[in-house]
Amino acid sequence: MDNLVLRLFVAGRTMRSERAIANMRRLIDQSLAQYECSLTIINVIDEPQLAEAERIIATPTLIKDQPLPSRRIIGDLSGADEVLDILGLFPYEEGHNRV
Amino acid sequence: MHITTRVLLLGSETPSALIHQLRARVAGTAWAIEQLGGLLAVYERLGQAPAALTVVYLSGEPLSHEAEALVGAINARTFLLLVSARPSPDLRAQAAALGVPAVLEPPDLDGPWLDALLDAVWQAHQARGAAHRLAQQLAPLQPLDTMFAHHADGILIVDVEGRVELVNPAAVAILGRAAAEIVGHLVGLPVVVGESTEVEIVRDDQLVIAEMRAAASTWAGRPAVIISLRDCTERYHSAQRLREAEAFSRAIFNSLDDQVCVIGEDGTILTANDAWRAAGAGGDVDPAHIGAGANYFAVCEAAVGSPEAADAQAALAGLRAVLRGDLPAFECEYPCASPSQERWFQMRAVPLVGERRRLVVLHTDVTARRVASRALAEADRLRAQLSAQAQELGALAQMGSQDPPQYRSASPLRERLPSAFAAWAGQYGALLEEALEQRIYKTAWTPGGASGDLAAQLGRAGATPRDVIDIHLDALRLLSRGATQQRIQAYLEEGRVMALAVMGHLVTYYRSRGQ
Repeated sequence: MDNLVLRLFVAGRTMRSERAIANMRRLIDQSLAQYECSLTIINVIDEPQLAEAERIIATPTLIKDQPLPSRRIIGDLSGADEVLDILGLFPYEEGHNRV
Repeated sequence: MHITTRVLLLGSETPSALIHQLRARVAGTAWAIEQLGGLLAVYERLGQAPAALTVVYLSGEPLSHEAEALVGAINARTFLLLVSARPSPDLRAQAAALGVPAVLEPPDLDGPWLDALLDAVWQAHQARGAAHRLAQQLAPLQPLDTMFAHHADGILIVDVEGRVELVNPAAVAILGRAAAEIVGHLVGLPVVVGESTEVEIVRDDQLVIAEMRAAASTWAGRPAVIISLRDCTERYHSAQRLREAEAFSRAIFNSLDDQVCVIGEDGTILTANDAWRAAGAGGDVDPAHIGAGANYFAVCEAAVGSPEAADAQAALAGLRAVLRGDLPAFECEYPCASPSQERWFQMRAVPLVGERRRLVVLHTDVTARRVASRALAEADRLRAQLSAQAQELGALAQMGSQDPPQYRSASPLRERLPSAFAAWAGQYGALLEEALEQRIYKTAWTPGGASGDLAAQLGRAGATPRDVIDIHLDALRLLSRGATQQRIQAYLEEGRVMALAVMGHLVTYYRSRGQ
């Protein structure tokens, strides 16, 4: 099973942060079942140095570290198809795993 | 500028040997040769159709002013090759000043220069065409660049990987970072579902909320995404405060037991509280007729022809009068019986304080007050009747005996004979219950026997009219516990008859004793 390493940068527990986290978890559960997923939530208020190191200009920002190439998305991740498209990932299909 | 055929123009002075040499070279290729008479003819021809290469043969004499102008104009439209019949430093100097790329002089005219020249010219021509097309593509972007620079919204242009190519001053301000910290760095691609989405920016330890929009576009001839950011922190906080205030108002609104709604000038119900909706959900009224969006006036008008028509019309007229400002408020009471019980409501309408004409309409359940009021009136009537009976009793007693009647000086039965009083109240209650049953089942009831016996017992104990009233009220109190409003009302009505009957029998008893 391939590794999928994701980092989601959020700013505290705001409505937008909660929505982005929920959208990402739903996406992992429903569309990325073929991956061994690792999702790290990083609060830029608590860990500004991590945000600065990655030059996070706005939150929520999702970074896909693995599989390469690395990709980044800004927004609350509510458009599942578009998110998968930008991440370069195919949605999981029962019996038709294209990855 | 786009040339599909490679054309070579020759001036009229071109020697035939050179023409022959050129024709031999381009035979069977994509090049075509046109020979024209003089610089002016060449210039005019270029205005009609472009040519990749123009060869102008000159004697080597310095160019006149007119010739110089024409050579410059021709050079601007095509790749110009000047061929001089003899070495001429003056001509080379003039050509260089005009930007003419090449002047061929003897001995350069000999040798395989022509092949190389034609290839080079064609490649140069293609490069120039590409540059021209790129310039055309970029030209519209220059005003866009200027527009971005002055745009109030923050604008970032990112490439297909999310790397920033351009950032405007407003974006620098919103993001709180220098342009150099942003441009060239990977920030990501925006995902916006719908028109916009909100993102957060930590700036100077403050959380800024920005509305983000995105549009696919091109930038410098490559696919790009234009991201716009608008600081909406203040708007967001204002909206949040407004939402909290609305929630507070709504909580107050919903805490009221009264059914409250707000109607607009045309009668449309704009909002209603929980009690109002609960009344609809309880099946008393069709929710579609009373919920937000329904028309209150239409409901009143729809009552035409029904038993409530008069009340509804009066209510409608009252509401409109308040809306017009003719009345400061309007209120009325109307029956709204459910299948299981009698109910009364008070409708009260007052203007809503605000810029637009609206009404606040309250419906209050006044059934308890109505019933209590009716019971009070009933008690008053009964008291009057009993008072009349008492007067008759007193007069009778005076006629039958010179001594003051026993009952006049006696203390109340409740105090003198508490056990007997309780028993008589129970007996009275049983009689009342029996009378009510007979009323319900429509059977004949003759109060004479049982109530006469009770009156005789009371007479023997020296009961007064006040004692009869006490027994009556005690019995009613006992019977009313847990009874429905409808049954209480029936007890009141039957009790009045029963009390009068007992009182009548008591009068008869004292009269017979007096005789």
